[in-house]
Amino acid sequence: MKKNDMNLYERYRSENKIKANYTSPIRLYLAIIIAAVLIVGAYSAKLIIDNLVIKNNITNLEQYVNNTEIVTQMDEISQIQSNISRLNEIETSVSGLNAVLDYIPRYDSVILDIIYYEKPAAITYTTLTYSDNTISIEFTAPKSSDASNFALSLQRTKKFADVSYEGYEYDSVTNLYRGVLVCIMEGEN
Amino acid sequence: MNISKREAFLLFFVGLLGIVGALYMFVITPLNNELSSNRLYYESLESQKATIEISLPTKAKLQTKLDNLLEDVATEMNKIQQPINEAEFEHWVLPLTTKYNMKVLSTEFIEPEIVMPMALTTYPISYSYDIKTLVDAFNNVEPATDATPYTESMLLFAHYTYVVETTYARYIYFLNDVTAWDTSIYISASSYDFTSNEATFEFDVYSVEQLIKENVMDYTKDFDASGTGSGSTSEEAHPELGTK
Repeated sequence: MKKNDMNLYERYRSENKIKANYTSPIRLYLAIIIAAVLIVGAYSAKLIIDNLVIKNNITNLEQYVNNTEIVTQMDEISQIQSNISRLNEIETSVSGLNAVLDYIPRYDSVILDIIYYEKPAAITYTTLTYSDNTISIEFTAPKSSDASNFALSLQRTKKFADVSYEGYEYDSVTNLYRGVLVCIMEGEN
Repeated sequence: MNISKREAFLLFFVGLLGIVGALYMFVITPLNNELSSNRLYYESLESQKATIEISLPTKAKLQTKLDNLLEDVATEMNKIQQPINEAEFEHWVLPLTTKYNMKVLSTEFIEPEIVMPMALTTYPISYSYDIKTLVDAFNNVEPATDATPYTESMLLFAHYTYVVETTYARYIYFLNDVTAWDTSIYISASSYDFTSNEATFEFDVYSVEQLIKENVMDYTKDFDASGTGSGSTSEEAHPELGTK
C-alpha cells in the first residue's frame, strides 16, 4: 500500500490565504460609496470649472457687447434699418397712389380741342359739362344727321372710352335740333 | 444587532442610491442648470457679437442707402400735394381767376376727408351674351382686361368749388393752367354755359404729409383778387386747330 504524505502546512497556508483574501462586505460597500462620491465630486468639479470658464468668457463678451461706443453705433444702425423699412413702406404706398393719380384724366384744352376739331361746323355748343371722367356736350344742330356725324367722328379718334347720345329733338322755335352727346374719357397713361 | 448579508446589501444599495440621488439633485443638477443657462447666454452674446461684427462695417453703406432712398421717396411724394387748407388753396386759384379777369360768383369748400383715390369713376357699359362670347372665341378676340391702376393706400382729399363768370376761351386757358400745376389737384367736374358765360370748376385736392417739404408756396403775402368776367374778342378758344 502506497503511503501518502500528509502536508498539513499546505492546508494551513491555504486556509490562511482564503482568510486573508476575504474582504468584509461593509468595507466593500464603503469603498463603493466612497468611489461613487468621488466620481460625482469629480464630475461636479468639472462642471464648476466649466462654469467658471464660461462665466469668464461671458464677462469678456459682455464688455465687448455693452461697450458704450458699440451700443451707440448699433442703436444708430438699428435706427437706420427701421427708417429704411419705413421708407420702403412709404415708397410702396406712394407708388400705388401716384399710379392711380397719374391715370386720372385731365380735363383741359387737349381733350376739348379734339372735340372741337371733330365737331361739324353747323353744330353749336349750348353747355359743356364735365363730371366723373365724362364730358357731356349739349348742342344745337340744323340737321338731324349732325348728331350721328359728330358721334362717329369722335369715336374714330379713339381718344374716348365711349361716345354716345340718347336721341335729339327738334325745337320749332329755333328750328334747330337739340341733343346731348356723352364722351367717356380714358385714363391718362 | 445582527443583520444578514442580504439585509446589509439592501441597506448599502438604498444608502448608495440616496447619496448619489442627493448629490445629483443638490449638486449636479444645479450646476448643470447654471451651465446650461450660461451656455445659452454665452451663445446669445456670441450671436450679438457676430451681428455687431457684421453690422458695424455696413453702417456707412446703410446710411448711403437711407439717404438715396429718402431722396427717391421724397421726389415720388412731392408729386402729390402737401396738405393745404381752403385759404391756402385760394392762393392757388385766385391768382388765376385774376389773371383771366374772371368774376368769382360763389365758392364752396368741403372739409377734407381720408379716401382711397380712384383713377376712373365711369366706365363704358360692356355687354356679354353667349353668341358674342362664342364669336369672340372664334375670332380669337381676347376679352378686354381692365388696366386701370388701383390702390388701397389712403390720402387726404378736399373738394373745392368755384363758380365764375368768364369767356369760353378763358375758361379753357384756366383749365390748362390747372393742368400745368402738375400736382395732385384735379378738376373733377366743370361746366361752361355758353348762354350765361358762367363756368364751374370743382377741384379734387389729394394731399399727403411730405417727408421733405419742397417748392412750398408762400402763403404769407396777402393777395388782392379782381375780375369783371369779360375777355377779349380776339382770344381764340382753340387757336391752333380752328373749325372743321
